[in-house]
Amino acid sequence: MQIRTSGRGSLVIRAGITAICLLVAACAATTTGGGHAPPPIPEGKGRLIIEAGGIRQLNYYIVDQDTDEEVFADHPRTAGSSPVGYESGSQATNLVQDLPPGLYTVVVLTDIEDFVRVRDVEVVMAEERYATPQVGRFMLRMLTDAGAIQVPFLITDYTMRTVLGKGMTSAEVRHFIVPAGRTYKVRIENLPTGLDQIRNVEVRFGGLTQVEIDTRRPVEQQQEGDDAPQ
Amino acid sequence: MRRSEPVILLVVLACVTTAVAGPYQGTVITRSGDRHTVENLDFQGRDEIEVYVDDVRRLLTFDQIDRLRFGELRTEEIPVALHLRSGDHLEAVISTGGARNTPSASSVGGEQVTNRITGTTPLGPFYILLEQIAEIRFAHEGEPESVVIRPATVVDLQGRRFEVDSLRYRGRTSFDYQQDKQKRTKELERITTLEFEHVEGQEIRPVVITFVTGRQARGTVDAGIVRWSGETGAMYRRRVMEVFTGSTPQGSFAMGLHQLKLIRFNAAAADSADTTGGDGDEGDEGDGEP
Repeated sequence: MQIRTSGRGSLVIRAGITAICLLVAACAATTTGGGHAPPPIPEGKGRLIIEAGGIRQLNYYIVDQDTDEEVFADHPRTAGSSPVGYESGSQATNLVQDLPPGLYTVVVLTDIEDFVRVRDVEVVMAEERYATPQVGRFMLRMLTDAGAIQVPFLITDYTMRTVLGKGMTSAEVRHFIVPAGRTYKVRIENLPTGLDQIRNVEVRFGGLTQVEIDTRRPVEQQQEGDDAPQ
Repeated sequence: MRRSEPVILLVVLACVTTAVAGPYQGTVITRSGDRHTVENLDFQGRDEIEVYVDDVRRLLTFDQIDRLRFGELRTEEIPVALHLRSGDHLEAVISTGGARNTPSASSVGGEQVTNRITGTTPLGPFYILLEQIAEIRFAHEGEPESVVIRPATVVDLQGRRFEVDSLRYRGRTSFDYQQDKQKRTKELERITTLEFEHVEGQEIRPVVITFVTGRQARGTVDAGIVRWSGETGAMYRRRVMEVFTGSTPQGSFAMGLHQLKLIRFNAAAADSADTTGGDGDEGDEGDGEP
């Protein structure tokens, strides 16, 4: 069967085919690049995923065990003692890295003096490999009549023999990253107000320990204080 | 598409298992005399154990330990005799306190912290509380990693020289410093000199680190001597005055970062460290990398 078309009809058909092609190309582009799937592993590399029990950002570096060279370092978190640190709501993570195949050591820096190392992490070409540093996190809030305040505190070992680090509480949400599986002590001392609080902090992998030191006075006591004769 | 999902899941699980599985195996002997051959040994999820030797905190990795023999239980601590693979013998204490939160704390997620050794046996998963163990004998493969602590010459800001053996930094064999607000750590056996610059009135002291390879790196250390609020006298002494510790022919040695001018490690011992290290020239290529 032969279909005869006029010059104008041929033009319409060509335009239609072009439009369909463009539509198909656009759909293909949307499917491959616009979703939430991770990007493909670059050619000649493998993917290292650091599984930190729900923590999205860590300060860490990766060392190539063959050459002893640092091949990657990223330190997006502010120090635990910094007064400006807080947890952002960002879902961005720095825990996925594409590396050439090889044997690596992942060194995670925590908010205390101890490092957490994961040795002998093998990255294989075009494959995903996981490293699981045993880190956990805790949050310390200091509540006063004026609300949550910023005060410095010490992080010590359970026996309180050694100071492992220091931190600063925040009015915002703030997490402190430490090696998991241990119980630490935190101490807040403020001599002018006579405040001295020591708390156990048990830190678990994959968990979040929240410690609250509440120095608020009960409402009745506050009212009594306000009504007291001058 | 759906058929491939279980396969992908299995591959991911295999990858996770491969990465998590620890290389340590040994025999765990309980206080009642039972013996268990355990693979993938770990303590609280890690391959290191926190001990106190003469009240000084030390972290020992399993590959350093040959045998642990536990003593009589005390309140919140257990004495332990450590036989290291280097041949050293240590009398230490392990703290078993904690493992519970105060009423003001709450935890979301994660499993409870307990002082337990975990692993796998041919019969399945294995775990035991530290209090129930009499002895752990590790079965290591290959030679132990040699950690050579070289004798060093330490010079303080007043020009005094000390010949020190077994020099350690905060009880460890590695030195920590900062570079552009980033924490770095390097093994002392890879360092030949540490030169501390003195800036009047500054708590942050620049340090020049010269590595065995001849490369140099610059960094800073916090040499502050201000007592932190909440710090006891003993804590302050350990943090500020006993940063570098060791022994001299006259007795024990301790010095703070604020007092140091130069540390030079014995060059002859450095050569022997290189030869005993087993890495040869290749392993030293990247020592000086920041």
